[in-house]
Amino acid sequence: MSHNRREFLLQTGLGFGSVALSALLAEELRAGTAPPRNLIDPLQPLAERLPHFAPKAKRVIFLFQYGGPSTFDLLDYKPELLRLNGKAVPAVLKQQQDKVGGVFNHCKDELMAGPWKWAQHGQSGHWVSELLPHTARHIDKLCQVRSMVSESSNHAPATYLMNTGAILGGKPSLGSWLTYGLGSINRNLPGFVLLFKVGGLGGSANWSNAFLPAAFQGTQFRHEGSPVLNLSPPEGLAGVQRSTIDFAQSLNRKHSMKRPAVPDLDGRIASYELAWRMQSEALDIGELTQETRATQDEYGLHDQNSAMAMYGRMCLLSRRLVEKGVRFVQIYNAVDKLGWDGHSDNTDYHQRNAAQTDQPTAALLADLERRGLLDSTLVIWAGEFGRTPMMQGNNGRNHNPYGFTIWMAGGGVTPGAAIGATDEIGLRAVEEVQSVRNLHATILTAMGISPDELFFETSGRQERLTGVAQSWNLIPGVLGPPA
Amino acid sequence: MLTNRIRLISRSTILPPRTSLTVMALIAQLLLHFPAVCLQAVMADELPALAQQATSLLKARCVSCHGPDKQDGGLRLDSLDAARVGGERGSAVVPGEISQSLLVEAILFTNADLQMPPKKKLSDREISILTEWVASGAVWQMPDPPPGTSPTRGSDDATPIGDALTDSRNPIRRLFNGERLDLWSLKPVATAGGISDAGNKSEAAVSEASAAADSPDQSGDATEAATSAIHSSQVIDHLIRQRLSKLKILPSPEADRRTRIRRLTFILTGLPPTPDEADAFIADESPDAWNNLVDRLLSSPSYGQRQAQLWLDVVRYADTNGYERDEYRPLAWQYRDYVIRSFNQDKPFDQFIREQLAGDEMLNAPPATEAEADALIATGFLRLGQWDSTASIFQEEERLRAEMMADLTNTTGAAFLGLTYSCCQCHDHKYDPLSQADHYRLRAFFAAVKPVDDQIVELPERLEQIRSHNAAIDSKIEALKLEQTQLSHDDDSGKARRTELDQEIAELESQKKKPRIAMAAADEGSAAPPMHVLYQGDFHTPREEVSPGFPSVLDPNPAVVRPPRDNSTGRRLALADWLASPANPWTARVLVNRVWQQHFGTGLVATPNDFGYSGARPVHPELLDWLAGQFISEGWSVKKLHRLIVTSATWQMQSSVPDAESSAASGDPGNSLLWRQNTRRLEAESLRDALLAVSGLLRPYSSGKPLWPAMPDELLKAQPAILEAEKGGDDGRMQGWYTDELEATDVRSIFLVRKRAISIPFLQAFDLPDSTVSCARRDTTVVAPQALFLLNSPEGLRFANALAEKIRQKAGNDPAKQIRCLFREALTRSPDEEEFQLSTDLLIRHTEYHRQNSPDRAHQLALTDLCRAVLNLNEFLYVD
Repeated sequence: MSHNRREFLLQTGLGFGSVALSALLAEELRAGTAPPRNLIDPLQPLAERLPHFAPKAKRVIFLFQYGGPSTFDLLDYKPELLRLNGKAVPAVLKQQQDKVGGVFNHCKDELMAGPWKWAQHGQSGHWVSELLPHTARHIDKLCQVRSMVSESSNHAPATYLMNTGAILGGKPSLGSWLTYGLGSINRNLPGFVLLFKVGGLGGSANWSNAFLPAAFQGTQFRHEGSPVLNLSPPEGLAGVQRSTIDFAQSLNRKHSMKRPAVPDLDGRIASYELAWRMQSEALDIGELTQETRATQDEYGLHDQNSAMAMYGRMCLLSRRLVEKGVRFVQIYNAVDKLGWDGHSDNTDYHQRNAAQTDQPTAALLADLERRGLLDSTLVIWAGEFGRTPMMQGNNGRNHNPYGFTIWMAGGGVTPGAAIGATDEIGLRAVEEVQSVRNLHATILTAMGISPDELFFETSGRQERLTGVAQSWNLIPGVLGPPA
Repeated sequence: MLTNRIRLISRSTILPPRTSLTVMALIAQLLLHFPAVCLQAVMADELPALAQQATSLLKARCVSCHGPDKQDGGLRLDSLDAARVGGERGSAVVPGEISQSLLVEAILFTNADLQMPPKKKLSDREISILTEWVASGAVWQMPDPPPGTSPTRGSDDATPIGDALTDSRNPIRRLFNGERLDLWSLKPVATAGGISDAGNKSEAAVSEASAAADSPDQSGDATEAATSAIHSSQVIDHLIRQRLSKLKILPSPEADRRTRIRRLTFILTGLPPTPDEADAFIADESPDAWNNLVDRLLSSPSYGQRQAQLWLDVVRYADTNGYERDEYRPLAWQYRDYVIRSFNQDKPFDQFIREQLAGDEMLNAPPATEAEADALIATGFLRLGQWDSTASIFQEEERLRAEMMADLTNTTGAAFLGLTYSCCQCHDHKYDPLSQADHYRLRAFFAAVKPVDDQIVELPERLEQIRSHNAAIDSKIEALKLEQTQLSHDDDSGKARRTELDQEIAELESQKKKPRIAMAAADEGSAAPPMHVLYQGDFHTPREEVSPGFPSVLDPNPAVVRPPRDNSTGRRLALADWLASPANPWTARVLVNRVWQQHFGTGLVATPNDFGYSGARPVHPELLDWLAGQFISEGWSVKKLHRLIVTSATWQMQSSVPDAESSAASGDPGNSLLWRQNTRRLEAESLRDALLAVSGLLRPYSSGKPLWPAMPDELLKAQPAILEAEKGGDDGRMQGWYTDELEATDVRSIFLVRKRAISIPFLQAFDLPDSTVSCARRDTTVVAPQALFLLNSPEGLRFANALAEKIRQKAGNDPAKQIRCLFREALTRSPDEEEFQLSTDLLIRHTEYHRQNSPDRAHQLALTDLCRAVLNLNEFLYVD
């Protein structure tokens, strides 16, 4: 295959169908003529690539709810649990076999209701607990999935699963897959941006590009100060930065001209120009004072609750980033190691985390809608698992991977829907049980990507976010009425 | 009879009395190492497998000198009859009689006059196989069928099932309907046959070389070494150029000396040459200049550090557990140092394999030498995967164990065999001749593995010192305790004295010494828990039980496993022996391909961890096989392999081409056929090491605990587990980040801590691989954060500052001298006129700028800017 033809294919990427592309490359590999990882034009790894079909969403904001929120204390109304407060788990629910761990691990055989009041909201009439008064105003925008299950009852593996599709670390994250498949709309900024004070349990494997090229790794944007690590010139050198770069570039060009067979050398020259442009563009995004005072207040930027102010800054930054064409933004809500992880005092944990996140989340939804961005931006709210209705300690709840709620909004998802259900005490998903893999397939499909055709060949197999076995289903009712 | 035979053997020795010593030594050796031979009959059903192992060993190790081509000593070992007839010294094999079989004496190395193979003693395991084979009656393996025939044996045939190519009963042949058997890597390594042309040509070269080296003062050995190097590296060139000439592609000319020394030093040591080293080589007019340089670099300690880095990628080394807590593994570094030592010692690679998989099973007693201690440290290999210490809290131990076993299986398959065992964990392999059962057969070799966190690796002498040191303290403590019992409980002085004594005892306790321990692994006993095929890879759904076994396509029978002692299964040793034997077609090919990749940027097989159908095919199959054969016959010496490759003209070619047209015109713009060398970017560690070396900051450090460089605080604070540790909430589990003093961390990057949950940003930016799975080949991406790092990071600025200071010290204050000195230090060359002018302009411009704020240091700051620019050059990051 000629060099030019390959370049063309590389640049058309997904649009041509990565199957065709990959088959051609595989042919080359078998003939022993090409290095194994060359799917993307190295000079423009973030160049925008066409999706497989018309997308419902063009960008994603993922609000990761760290630690495992107790979703039947927030959105999944369980009057039976309120009624059975202090009672033993009904026998019929006890008998089920658990595949991982076991829900009674460290739990008492005693149900515990949350202390919060519930009310119906919006046209949909969905119940929302008093912990989320702001989100409640947008309840008709949300598409809830109330029957999610995870594959581990432990933070790191379950967080890896939610972010990378596998409970073992070492697979590319959702944001890496999306930027690998689609590139980014703005090439002067990273395509996959992270905002957090404390990242997910299990560390950087949660936003790793793993075996995908490094251009698709998550870049941390700081919510205060210079937004990207090493973005600004060292102190006192701003005035000579361009001159220093120019010197290097003129020598680099001469060096590269003598080595026409090494495209990376030109790529490196281009990367310095990108770094230069990124500096001004990223600094600009970090200037939250460009927003009106009303907007700043709406996001809680000046709230006395410093945790809320921080989460608000991250939510506002995420809007500014997607507005500038960043493909995937992920926020981790936690301010410490604990997040929603209420083993000892579930009431306190949920009060604090709800207070931190509720108002800015609502502000983000409203802001995106006002700016006409919500239709093309998929907002996802999810933790790694839910919590037990049984009591742990005196007022705690343990991890529960057998049934929990997540929601999506915007990006073409069905507004006001509530899909699936847990049993009467919220312990296990019983209707429309949905795996994280199905959630990922649904997100990819919303982005115009056919989940089976987004793959990367490594270690002898086609790796996919949705697994090598190609066994996934779209969550019915999320992207239009169920068939 | 016995005496007679021995006398015959030792007739060339002078003193007859040594005869009896030899007999005793022989028997003592056997009893010491192979009690099983004498005390335990070989089970009848093991005979065929033993026969196969023994005959393939003879074929691999002996027949080249004692077979159809050569009959050294008049002996052939390619059939039982020939072995019984023997050679000039007598019968090599007397079935059932170890003491009468010269073969056994020869391989035991007890008789200085009869040691075979002459270059390198067989492994204990191999010796054991051959000895047991002789003892059990020396049954010869079933003859190979004549080529082209496809024997079909009846299903009631009691003979063991053979490989899929020859036996229709082989399960792989049945599973895939006889397909998938033409996989290139399945074929035995082809030796000599395919390169007859090369042989002819290089014979001529040898005679030329011999003539050249024909001077009386040279020792025979040196001449032999020199000619064999010339002979061998010319085979590489011949094979490469044969292909090029068919396509009418001209090979590139030899690169200049400056390019070659930079390339060689970076590839072999991961560091740049110093300007003086480069000058010395450029000025060296001796014909051996290149060979001497190669030898010097291969014997420098930096060589092992570089080579180890590449191996650590393959085995996914890290210093921490991974997952939520990501605790520090305080002893993992000993494995890292073991790898460095092994490469520096040029430990035969087959031994290196055995030690990592089964070092513990190679020993029958506590380690008595450093080498034996190393064999135990080597089993750290079995411990390198991730480990989730919180699994037990959530009752997920069973899942974790299954994951750990899968990880170990997949890593072993990829690292040594280049086979994707990960692909047949849930179902039969989609492309390769591997069944799902094959995954679990390999996994079964590890079924009994248990972690050992406190393996004592101290040598007896030192242990004894420690023991007596501690005993002396104990007796002092005893005395103090006795005094305590005699004290009154009532009065104050008694209480005071008691407290005093407690303190003294504690003080004494703290003076006790502890023996050196290692993070190792061992079997939990002589029996392993059963291994089942797991339906869809899920540990909840075990299916049929399997025994340990090699890939069924070659040998579907259970592996012959013998416990080396009574508290270990011997499974890993059996696996290690098979992996490290020339009998399997993968191990040597996989290793030489990794080394080729190190030298050319791309392997002869572009997918070093996948020698299956979905991987790349070898560009030069005959070269790959020739290198593999050479590697084995040269005793699995990695250094010799390097020497072989870098002394070829192919290696020494230029990488640059005059223009794009000539590159395209070559018909091979991607250079897969190697008509030129490849320009490649330094790997993350080499880049950092080069920056440290050039700026003069690099500190010597050659073994020991990993060092923790400073990290941006916000990155640490973003790690929940580290936050917990900083608040003291990790109960001593060491899940934090333990920053060392800045200067202390100016060591080669291999000695920096490798933490799974958080990578050192500089290294990560330059494509440090994930340490969760085996990495066969580094990515080299080009992304803006790399530019930001080199331009703006505190590290980048520090390198530039240090380099500028070094230049000032070396070149004084004259800008012209400084510019020349800078180019020489950083790029091993002088600036051309244009570069000199640009540099001068920059210095003037920037001095002017810095005068505003720092009038005293304006010029030095400008020089720092110039240094920063030079350290950002492509030329600094890429090696031609």
